[in-house]
Amino acid sequence: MDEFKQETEQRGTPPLRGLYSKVNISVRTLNIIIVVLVILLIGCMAFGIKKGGFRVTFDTQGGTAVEMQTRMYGELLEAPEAPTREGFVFEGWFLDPGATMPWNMEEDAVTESMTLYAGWQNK
Amino acid sequence: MAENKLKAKGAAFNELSSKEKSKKVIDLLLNNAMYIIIVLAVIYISIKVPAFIKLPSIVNVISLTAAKLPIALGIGGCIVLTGTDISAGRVVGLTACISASLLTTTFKVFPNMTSAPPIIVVLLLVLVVGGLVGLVNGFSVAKFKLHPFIVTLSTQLIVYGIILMYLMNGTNNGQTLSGLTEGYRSLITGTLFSIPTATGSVAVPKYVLYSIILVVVMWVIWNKTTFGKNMFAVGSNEEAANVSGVNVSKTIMMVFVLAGMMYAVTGFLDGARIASANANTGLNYECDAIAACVIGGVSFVGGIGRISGIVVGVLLLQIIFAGLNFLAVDANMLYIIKGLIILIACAIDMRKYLVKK
Repeated sequence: MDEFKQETEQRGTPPLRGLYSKVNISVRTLNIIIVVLVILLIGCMAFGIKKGGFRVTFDTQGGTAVEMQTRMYGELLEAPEAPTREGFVFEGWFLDPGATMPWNMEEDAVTESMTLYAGWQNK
Repeated sequence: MAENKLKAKGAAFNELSSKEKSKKVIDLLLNNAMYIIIVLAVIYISIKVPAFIKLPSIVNVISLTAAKLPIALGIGGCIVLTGTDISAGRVVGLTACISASLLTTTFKVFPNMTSAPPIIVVLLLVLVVGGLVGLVNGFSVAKFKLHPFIVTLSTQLIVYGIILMYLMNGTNNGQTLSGLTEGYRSLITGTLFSIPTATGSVAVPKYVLYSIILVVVMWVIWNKTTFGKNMFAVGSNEEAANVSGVNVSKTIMMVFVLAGMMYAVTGFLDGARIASANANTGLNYECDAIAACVIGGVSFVGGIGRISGIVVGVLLLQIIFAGLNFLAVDANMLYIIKGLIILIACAIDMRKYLVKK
């Protein structure tokens, strides 16, 4: 009776196949691996969140350098000191190097890492 | 009836010894670890950045899911066959470049062209191209018995070379293609319908509808056709399928051809969605697609997988990454997180299979 039970149990085991055909690991080891990986994942996410911040770089396109700023989602930028450039008047900050899409320092909020370009007008 | 089932389950649970109870709880927790983490993450992010669960953000996540769904549906078939397909991303890039170079207002790749061909012609063309690549993949796997990894690795490189040479044609010289026709763009990214909100309205793009149609089509193929049943049979046990009269070679080739056509559709949609195409379009798309499939329950063991699982997998991945984006997590950290998610999904998949033994 016991032998018969053993046989049916063995026949019930699905044959190892696919990517796992050579897998020889115990369920307990897998449990530990999963838990370790999950802890690592949560650690990485927490680390990333703590060090988070969108980087806004200011490309002055030939003028004096302006430092970049780090902001969280939805925050406003701190208006930096206006850069200077020989023979040009500073027009403001724009989203594109061609200075066609202006950035409103008082209203536009940061939603992603980006570069703001300085607009210049000939004196 | 569902209530009775639940009651019966609860009664059976109480019958078990405490040791078996804890084992069941651990099983439940670990098998669904991925979903639990994502739900917790979503709750955390919604509290920290309330804009995450507002309508524009939700519509954005749904649009991104719809964009990344067809390629996952294609790769799902290859994974069910215990294979893989790492040429997927490059095929997407090739079809995006072909679509962008033909349906444009400034003809750079074909400078002698004066007007864009009809959109349906371009769509059929890219479907043929995708199907051809899939045929090469499938033929090599089925007839020469080469491992799908090696075959699709070489196809990936060959297709990349083709993209680079294609972009050098005419007056283009390898630059990014843009300036797509109004008809092409409005067909794909035009508004399906607008949902009014407090501050305006949020538009749902048309490609969401196309993705839904593709999901339904793939569901019918996987579940209601002989081809689908054959696919699962070959994935579970190739020899047994052969003995029961399934044409294994033909099934494998058709799965890869279907996958290739799905990649072509993805490229066609992506060209308009990103409004440009270059040699880097589609790079590493297959990583996301395979990760989504594994999270969604398409097992590497072969012969196991559901379309609903793939949709859920793609959706969950997009939710996580949209959320991490809102939290301004360093973009470089996202790669590490993506890798860990894939590892965890594989470990859980392996565990589910071993526990059944």
